Amino acid sequence: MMKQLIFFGFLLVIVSCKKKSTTWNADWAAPLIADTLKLTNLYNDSTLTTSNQTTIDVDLSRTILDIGLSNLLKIPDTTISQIYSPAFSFANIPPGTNFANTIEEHVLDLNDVQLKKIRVSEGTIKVTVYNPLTTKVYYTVQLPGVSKNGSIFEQTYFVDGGSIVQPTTSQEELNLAGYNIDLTGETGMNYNRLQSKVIIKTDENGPAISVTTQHDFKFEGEISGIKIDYAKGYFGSQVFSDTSNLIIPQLNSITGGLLDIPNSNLTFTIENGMKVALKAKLTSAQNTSASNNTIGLNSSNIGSDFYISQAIGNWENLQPALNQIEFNALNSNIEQYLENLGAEHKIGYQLQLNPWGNVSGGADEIFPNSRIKAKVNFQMPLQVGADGLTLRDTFNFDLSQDPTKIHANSGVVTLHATNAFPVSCEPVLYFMDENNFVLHTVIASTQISSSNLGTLNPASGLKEKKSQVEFILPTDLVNDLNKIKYVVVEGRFDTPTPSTGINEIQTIPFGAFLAVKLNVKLNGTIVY
Amino acid sequence: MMKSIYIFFFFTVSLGYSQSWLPVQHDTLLDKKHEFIFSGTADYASTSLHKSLTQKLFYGGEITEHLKEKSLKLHTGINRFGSDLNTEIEYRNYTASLFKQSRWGFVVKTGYFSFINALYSKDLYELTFYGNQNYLGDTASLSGTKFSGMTFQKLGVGWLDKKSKSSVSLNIYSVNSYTSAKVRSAEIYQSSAIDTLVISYLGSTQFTSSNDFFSGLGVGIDADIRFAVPTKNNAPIYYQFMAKNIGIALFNNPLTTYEADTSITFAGLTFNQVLNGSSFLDSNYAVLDSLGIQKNQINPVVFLPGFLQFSKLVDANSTRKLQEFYGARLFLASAFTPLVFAGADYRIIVGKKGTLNIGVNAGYGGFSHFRFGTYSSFRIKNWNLGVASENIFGKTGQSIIFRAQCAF
Repeated sequence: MMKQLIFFGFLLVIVSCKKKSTTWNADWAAPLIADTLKLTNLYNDSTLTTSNQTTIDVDLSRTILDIGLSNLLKIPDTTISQIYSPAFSFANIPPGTNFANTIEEHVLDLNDVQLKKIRVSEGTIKVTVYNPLTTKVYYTVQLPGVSKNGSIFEQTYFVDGGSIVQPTTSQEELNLAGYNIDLTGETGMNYNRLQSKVIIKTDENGPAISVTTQHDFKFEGEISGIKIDYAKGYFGSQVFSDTSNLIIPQLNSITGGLLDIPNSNLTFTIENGMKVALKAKLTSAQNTSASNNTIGLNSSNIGSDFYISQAIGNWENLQPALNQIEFNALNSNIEQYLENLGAEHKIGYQLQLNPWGNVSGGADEIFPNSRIKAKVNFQMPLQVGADGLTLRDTFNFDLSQDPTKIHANSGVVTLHATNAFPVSCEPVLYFMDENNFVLHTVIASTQISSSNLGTLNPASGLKEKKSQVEFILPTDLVNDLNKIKYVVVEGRFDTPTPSTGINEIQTIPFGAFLAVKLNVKLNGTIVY
Repeated sequence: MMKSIYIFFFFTVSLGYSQSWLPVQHDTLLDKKHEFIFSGTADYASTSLHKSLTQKLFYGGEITEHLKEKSLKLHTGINRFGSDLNTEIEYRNYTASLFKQSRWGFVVKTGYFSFINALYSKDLYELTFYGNQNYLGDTASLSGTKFSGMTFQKLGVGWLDKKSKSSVSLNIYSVNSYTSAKVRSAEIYQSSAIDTLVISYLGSTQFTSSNDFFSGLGVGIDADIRFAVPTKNNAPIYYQFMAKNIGIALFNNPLTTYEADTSITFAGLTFNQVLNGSSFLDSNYAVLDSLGIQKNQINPVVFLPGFLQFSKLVDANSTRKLQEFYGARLFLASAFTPLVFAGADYRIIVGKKGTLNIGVNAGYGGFSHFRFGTYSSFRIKNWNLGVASENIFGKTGQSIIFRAQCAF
């Protein structure tokens, strides 16, 4: 009997333990996305504009070059040095005697640039003085022509006594920002000349001392990190050439089809904000599409020199000079160039300062707000003709599930769209593994229809067309969720004319939108 | 293994050795020094959950559409479910004289209890087992849902009246786990176009953060009071008032509590939220915050799922072979309605020293409605063994009770 008792007790324990999972299937539904795509969402650098609240214009402006004084002129780090050695020996010089007072010029090595005047925005000078006397000496360092707010640069140092073999030094680093530097030298007729002057005075309270020809009174100035924001002189005939890359990443998503756009103009504008004559040349322009098709812009404007006058005015009222090069259907293959849908544009250019030499007599001026800019401007009405134009984009995907826990079996994602664009779209989803191998392809049940197939909504003043598109997610796909690492969304776009069904250029109306509501129905298994 | 269990239950319950309600056979002539009582109960019942579905929940397996439909047909607006799983060993000492009173002995007992109590709406059943697609364009109401579950151990010592067999014990409890949820009002609306989901919710849930053996400490009492009512012509009628686990418990660590009084309308994420990953699904904290759910830590005093029963006992020494018994029962749980029961006991003499009692019973209330059961107990020498089922024909529950008494 006791055995039976134990057995029954054991049974009670067994009964209370679950031996395997409990499972059942249930059907769930939930909204996923509700949003409206408007062109205002895509405004970028005033890319889209409207002048009449009815139609939209593409006004694409990009600056491909923007240089200023710091890009043109570099003042090298320079050390200026001045030594005074007496020609005769003097015995018992009384205290407080000035015995040196000279000006020296130091030439800056600026190649063919001839600067007469500059203003320092950044930079320092490290001043070092050496005292070979055994008594204290006053050193007054002056930089004639270097001034700030009307005051000449001047620093005085009271240096302890040293010896001829081991002179005492005094050192100080000073900020030169804001100093104007006259580089015309003592005569006022030169250029690139920096002046210095040292005054030496014995200690007024010290003893009488002797100065011999072996005493070297030395001053050093290490000028470094100089940046200038104003310069006057002759800046040479420098030539700049480069190739600018203009990337439009959205166009990389185009994998096929044709896009027809209306005749448009492409304008390059060179803006000269410096009081220097300028010669410019576009050396090349080409773009490469996502399918690696490269096309160059052919025009007589490519490779031709054109000249830009110097800016007029001074300082605050400086007015740049402009020169525009226009590419249109008459002088170039601009339409073919644009319809290549190149995502990467390479634009080569060359600039030369003072193409005729120093014709201003060294009166070139560059102000703090002086810039040389090159801009690309593209304008057209927002009209597109798409014929199987296929855009594709890839998104990371990370949605794993454990079949031993609550998991989905299959589902349907439904897209309710209200389309006010005269463009239809046939979406396809590709589900890929980590090696970009397509595991599953889900084709939409129908297309998102063009608004041209819809009716006029008096409230919005736009033609609108509603579509319901379903994406079936079969069991096989859901079972592979753990393997799926990327989802490719591909859309094939057309712009059909309702009466003919032929894809033609359509005008995108002002206020066009695509309202999207996305929901999901899932069959899942609850595992308890 | 499960088939073996079912077969065992079938034979023990159906072939004549079971005893309905397993009424205590009060034997005033029993004069022993020691008595051990081992009892075990495995009982679940529901107004609406078909036992075929409940068995899947307990033992595992797939709940098919057919099983779900069978239960769905039984559901009404408000539905109840409960389960009581316990086992207990009690020792009664008739030789000691407690507090120097020769009539008083003492009792020592220990046991394990697991109790689940649920009150829920039909909509909650449908949402759980069918999902929300049946409610597109409609509102699912979860209001009034209550759930509690507790597992605990008991150790008790107490006073025993040797003559009447009455006893009262003071118990301490070790709580293993505790979960409680109350939904005062909750509605889920899904638009037929599946573009709007509205959830309004007022409720709270709290639970122990671990299932440690000793998550909480409780105190309580058991009482088994028996008394005789004299009759004019016959032997006295014996009644029993029984109370078990009447007490409270506190927890070692605060309970994790989630409370919400919120209404949420969700129409979908924006493209920016999806592409920038800034949706409310970003982090758990953000989820709770955006849903208006407050997480707290509290340490409440909770009541144990106490048990009360008043019943007429079967007199083991009666000259009548056929006796009636009846009574009423109550669990201190929201889903348990007062249960009344009645039955008949028939005594058969087996051999020279054996006695076999068989009986039938019926009850109404509790976690379900009508229940019918049978029982049998066999008494020989110092042993009394009984097996019962209180719900032998029910669609929505199962019951097995076992008791072994040994007095020497």
